[in-house]
Amino acid sequence: MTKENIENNKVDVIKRQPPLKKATTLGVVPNISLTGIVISKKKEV
Amino acid sequence: MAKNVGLYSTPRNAACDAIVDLIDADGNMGRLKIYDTIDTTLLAEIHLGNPSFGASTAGVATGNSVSANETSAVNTGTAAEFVIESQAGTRILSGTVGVGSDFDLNFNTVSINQGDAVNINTMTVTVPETSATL
Repeated sequence: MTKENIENNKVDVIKRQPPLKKATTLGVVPNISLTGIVISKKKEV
Repeated sequence: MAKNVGLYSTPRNAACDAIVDLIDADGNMGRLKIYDTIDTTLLAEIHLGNPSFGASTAGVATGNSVSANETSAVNTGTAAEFVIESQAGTRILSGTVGVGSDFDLNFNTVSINQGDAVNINTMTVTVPETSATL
């Protein structure tokens, strides 16, 4: 592309630029995995 | 093209350690509190180990043995949510409580009566490898 072409296309190139976006984020939300046990202490009648 | 961000093991470990280290960053053992609904009725409070979790491997931190298992429930109710916080009360993690692996904290029952012994057997926190797993 010649310099002249570049100058002629400058506006067009700017128009073609996508809108600015924020960086894509990973969205790091940890997974939590726990196990437990409930032991009833209820008195037998 | 669909988005699919990847995170390698070194930053996964760093992120995971940073999260779980907040539980006992002040040098004191953290606590796991079980509620019917968060900020409503506290059913049981379990003191975690110190440190509460070991160093992360492949983005997974495994909990150390809790300091005071067989914690007696302080109220009667249906467990639904839990919060892990520092001794100073800074909330770090929360999740659901239920019966089965669909819940973050898998108990044998959600029916807790005052005086029942509440034990935590295993704990893991995982920072996922890709956004696709979220």
